[in-house]
Amino acid sequence: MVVASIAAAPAVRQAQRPGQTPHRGAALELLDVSHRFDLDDRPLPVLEHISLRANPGELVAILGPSGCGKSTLLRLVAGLDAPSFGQLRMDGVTIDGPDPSRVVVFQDPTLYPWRSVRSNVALGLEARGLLRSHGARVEEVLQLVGLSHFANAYPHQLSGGMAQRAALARALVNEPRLLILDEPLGKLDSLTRIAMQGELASLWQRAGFTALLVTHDVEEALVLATRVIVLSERPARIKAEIINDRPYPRHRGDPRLADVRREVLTQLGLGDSW
Amino acid sequence: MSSSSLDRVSAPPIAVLGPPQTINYRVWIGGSAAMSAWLGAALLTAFWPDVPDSDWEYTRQLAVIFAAVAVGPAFALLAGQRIAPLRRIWRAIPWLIALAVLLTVWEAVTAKLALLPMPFFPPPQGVLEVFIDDWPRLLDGVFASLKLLARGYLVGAAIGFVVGVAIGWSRAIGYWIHPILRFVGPLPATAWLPLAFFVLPSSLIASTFLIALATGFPVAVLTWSGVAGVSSAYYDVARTLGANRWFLIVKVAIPAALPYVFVGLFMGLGNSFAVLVVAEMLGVKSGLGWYLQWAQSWAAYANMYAALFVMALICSSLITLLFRLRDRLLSWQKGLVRW
Amino acid sequence: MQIRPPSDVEESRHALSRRTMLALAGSLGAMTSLGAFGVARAYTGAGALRQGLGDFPICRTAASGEPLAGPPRQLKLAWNATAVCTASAPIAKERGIFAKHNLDVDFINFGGSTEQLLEAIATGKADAGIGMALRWLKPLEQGFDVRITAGVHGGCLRLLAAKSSDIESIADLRGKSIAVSDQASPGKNFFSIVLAKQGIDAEKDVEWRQYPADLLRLAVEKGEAQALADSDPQTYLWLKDGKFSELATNLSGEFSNRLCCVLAIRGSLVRGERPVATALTHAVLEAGDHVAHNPADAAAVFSSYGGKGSVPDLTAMLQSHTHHDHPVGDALKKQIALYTDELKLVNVIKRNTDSTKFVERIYADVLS
Repeated sequence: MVVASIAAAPAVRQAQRPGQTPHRGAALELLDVSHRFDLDDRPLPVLEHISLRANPGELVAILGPSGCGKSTLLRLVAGLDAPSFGQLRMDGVTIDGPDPSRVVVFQDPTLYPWRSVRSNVALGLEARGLLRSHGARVEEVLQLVGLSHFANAYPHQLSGGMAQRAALARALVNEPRLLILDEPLGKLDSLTRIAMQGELASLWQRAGFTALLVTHDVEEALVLATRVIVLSERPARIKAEIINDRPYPRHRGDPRLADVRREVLTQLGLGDSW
Repeated sequence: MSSSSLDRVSAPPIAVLGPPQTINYRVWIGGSAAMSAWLGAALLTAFWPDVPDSDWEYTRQLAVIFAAVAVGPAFALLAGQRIAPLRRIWRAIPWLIALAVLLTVWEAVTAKLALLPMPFFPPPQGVLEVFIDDWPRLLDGVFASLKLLARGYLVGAAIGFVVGVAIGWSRAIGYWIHPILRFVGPLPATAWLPLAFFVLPSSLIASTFLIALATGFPVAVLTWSGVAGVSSAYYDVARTLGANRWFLIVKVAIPAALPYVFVGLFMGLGNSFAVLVVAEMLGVKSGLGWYLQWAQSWAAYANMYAALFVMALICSSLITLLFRLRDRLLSWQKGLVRW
Repeated sequence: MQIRPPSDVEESRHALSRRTMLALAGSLGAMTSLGAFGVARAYTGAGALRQGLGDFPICRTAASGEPLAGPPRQLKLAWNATAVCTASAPIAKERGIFAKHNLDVDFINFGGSTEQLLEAIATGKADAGIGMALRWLKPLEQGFDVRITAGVHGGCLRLLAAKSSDIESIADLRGKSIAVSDQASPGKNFFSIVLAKQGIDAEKDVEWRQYPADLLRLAVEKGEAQALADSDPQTYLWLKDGKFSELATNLSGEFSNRLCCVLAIRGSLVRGERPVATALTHAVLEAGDHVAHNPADAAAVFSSYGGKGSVPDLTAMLQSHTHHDHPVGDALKKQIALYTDELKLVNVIKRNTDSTKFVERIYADVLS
């Protein structure tokens, strides 16, 4: 296991993923991105000089204290907002707006209450006019997340975990090359969360997309990510970049993970508490 | 209570609510009360003579009608435990009793005692007379008013909806239209009458315009409110999934705003009824508002009350219809909101 | 209202109703008490008397013509400030005629002179009013406690046809539309009678379309109707520019000495304070004479109350109305009976209403 602090992006050994085309995912680059909000005529800096890189097929976790700007960063990557300074690039092309190749899974599933689960999942295909040609994918994805029996249910009938799975399905049906996850499991109870983390890991392995995961749960970062990026308080800068190349599926009790955990917690200023 | 009825109850084909004993008590007391209330009304009407020198033609018939209503609870009493739909009559029993008492008091105070002066307070048989003698004109009026209402309401709702979506969606459009809406919307229909008639080519179009205006204003305001209040998260989701502007408006904003739109539609319905009377002052040959005005100018208050009753009935039915429509379109709300 | 023969019917019902009432006592308390009350009344035979029927003996404290004693009696007169027919009222006030009869009269204005005026009088919000007989006869049939004491004048209703349509006589109106201000308008009533007398069915052969009064001319110009029927000052002013022709008025032909407007007084005032009613009636009649002899003065006074039309126009209108013709007594009764019969012809008044009895009910003699 290599623990590296930030300098340049180190070469990363791909974790083992059986029978997978390694370049399904997109390459993501953030070049000296800074962002600020204009609040009552006084600018509020949120991100400062963020430069990072995600290689195709990586799952990068972004950890940081709450309010530090993690979600803002994700919105910039998704193209929902434009950065005040700097550039974001996906596969070498500047990100200048939302695009179905980089789908977001938000903390709140935000399913459309007036649509059934199936109809919600098919949203992306419908928006792009691909429903007729690629409709079969909806059923596949529903099966993948285990919601086939609830395809005709309405969002208000689903539990929190099921709704989040539906949101995941909605993202996956578009076969994104970059999946952006904004604390997707944050609202779930810990049992569901643990189960979903396992599901997420296996989904990612099977599909091969690049994933950017924002979380405040250290365990989650450890279990899922190939690389953990620690952000400072607002205005956020990258404090550390820690590589984790333990193989999947990972076990929480793995003693090797303990070292990574220690390093991460130290970077977060919680080194004495675990 | 006979044991045989107990036997019947203890092996019912349908689920019984609560222990069998309670149901029997309630049924018998309620049913008897309702029956005797209506029979009392019938007897009072028939055997207490009307005030001298009055010429109510249908006093006897009214008594017969009261007696006939009493049959309802009687029938439900005897057969209701077996036949499920008749159980609905049980729920109506308190209202049935209250209605009987009210009608009896009305009858006594007008036709029998003349405590309330004519022509302002016709007795029930006066209103009955209107229905029996004048039903062709009333029916004609119902159809004519419904036609006018339908035209005005549909046009007003459609335009109001489009305007509301436009204002809610585009700030530029909102800048221009919003002040107009604010000032023009609340103006009373009577103020519009002469202007509308002068500008528009015919009185029919002017009447339709008045009703459309009354409908369109609340629909526009509420649609606007609904569209403007759509959570930005909904838009974020759709945008990241590759939706274009048309998709955002038609498949995200409008469905999300539909609950508000329906509130607007309800308000518009009430408004359009209120304006109906004014709208029918313009060159109309038949209609409920027209009939109402005519009755009023002849001081034929029985006719006026009859027309008002019919109007209330129609308004209530239309509201029920609108509720049904909402139930179908907004069935997804059932789990979220108490309605 | 039809008057039934008295008490025979009630006698035979007594025994039955008592038994029935006692039978009902077992079920609902309210029924019983009401029933018992009703029975008691039936026994004593003192049922509520229909107001306006029968003759109450009235103490005559003053013969007609004697002035009222005491301070000036305050009265409220309901009128329509836009209708030039009621010109007698402002004249009586401004030229001191009311004062001469020891009356202090306040005007209450009603924009649309409909049964609202009658309602106001019947409920005591006004003590008297001047209005068109042909508008009031139908509501009076319904039973307001109001009495007509004098006719006020004739004329003021006009039937106009657009010159652009080819209507030149009443007969040409068959199959056409006539615009009126409302379904109970005296214009509609009167000209229905005229049509009926010429053999045209006013309900089937002609269409009456309703528009707000000031939009009647516009309606004809838009082609929604070919003629209109309304009253002065509107109709007179519409005639001025020559685009309309006058087909008839309510002084045409056989109607030349018919009354148009009447003075009506609250029934309780007539019964309880007859001298006041007498004084009021006298004052209004005197004012009518004044209007007839000094139309220009009357026009000026009416105009000062905000009436439409220039003073010369109003003067001309007043000259065409017959303000000197104000029937009372038998002459008045005869005219009302005639109108009642004619209104029965056109299905306004119910066919089974007895005209003579009706007139007795709504007329009060306060002058003899």
